[in-house]
Amino acid sequence: MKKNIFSSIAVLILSITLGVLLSSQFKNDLDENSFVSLNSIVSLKNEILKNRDEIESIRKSINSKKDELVKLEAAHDKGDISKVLIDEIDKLKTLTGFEDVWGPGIYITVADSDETNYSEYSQEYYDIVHDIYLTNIINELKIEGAEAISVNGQRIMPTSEINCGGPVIRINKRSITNPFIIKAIGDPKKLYNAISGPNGYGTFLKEYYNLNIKTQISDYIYISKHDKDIKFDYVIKTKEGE
Amino acid sequence: MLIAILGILIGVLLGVFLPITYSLSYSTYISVAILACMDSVFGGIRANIENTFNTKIFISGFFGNAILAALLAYIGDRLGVPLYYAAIFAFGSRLFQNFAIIRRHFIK
Repeated sequence: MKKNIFSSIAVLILSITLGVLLSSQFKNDLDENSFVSLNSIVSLKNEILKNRDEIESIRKSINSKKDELVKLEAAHDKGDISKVLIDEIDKLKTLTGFEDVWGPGIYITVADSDETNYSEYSQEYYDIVHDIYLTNIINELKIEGAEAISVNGQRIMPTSEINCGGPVIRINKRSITNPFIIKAIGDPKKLYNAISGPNGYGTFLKEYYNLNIKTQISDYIYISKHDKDIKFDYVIKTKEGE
Repeated sequence: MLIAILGILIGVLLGVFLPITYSLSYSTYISVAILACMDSVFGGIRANIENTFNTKIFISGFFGNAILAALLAYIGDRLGVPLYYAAIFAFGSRLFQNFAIIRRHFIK
């Protein structure tokens, strides 16, 4: 009988423990505690790493800006800041297309297909060079680090448009016609690969649309400047620190 | 049987009114441990009915099962495999089994 009482007390105490555990668990708001899968952990981790990289690159750019500032201040102390500014203007002109430039790069000739017998499925529409093809080619070149690009003598500027004008294509508000010769300055091998490599966009155009595409590497490519000034009617420069 | 229900009621009341809190991140472990404890209590009731109740086995089962279940959940978290399913499955199925035996005993 004594053993029976003892065991009852044990059951009582342990059930009290269970009850306490139960109610304390109920008290917690379990909605916030969702199951975390491995995938989400990994993607979070990647995001953190990416953010860290970004922070690192921002720090680097801060440092380079500081270096620039030191340079400018040094020039200012000497009393002659104009040389630094002229250098800067030259660089910006080259980048935006207001300077004639030359260097190694590639020529790409893009021409309409020679196809003359159109079946039901290969219509005329598919065999001519469209504005979107040129846009994509120029985009590929920019991805591979092209520093200057022109199409039929029209320098590609930050404001350049590539627009369908019926039988012609309009770039820099001017009409250019087939065949299109694209010149690009940059790493010739990379540029060539982007267009005429196995997965290049030019190869794709050649195989699926029968366009005539020729790519040629050259050590000397001359790209002339844009001959009109850009007028700013709408943009307003913000002041430093705004 | 009555003692167990009484105990659980007292415990629930105590838990509601006592300021017991723990980090949310432990709630998986606690819930698995609760399942293990419930299994032990049901097992205890069944053993009481069958007159095979042993206090030592009951107490060791109560804490041992809870700790083992929480440990499994923890290891599963570390490994990225939801190992606590094993505990849920084992204790859950046994819970129903014990309950079925208790039911049959009362209905007979």
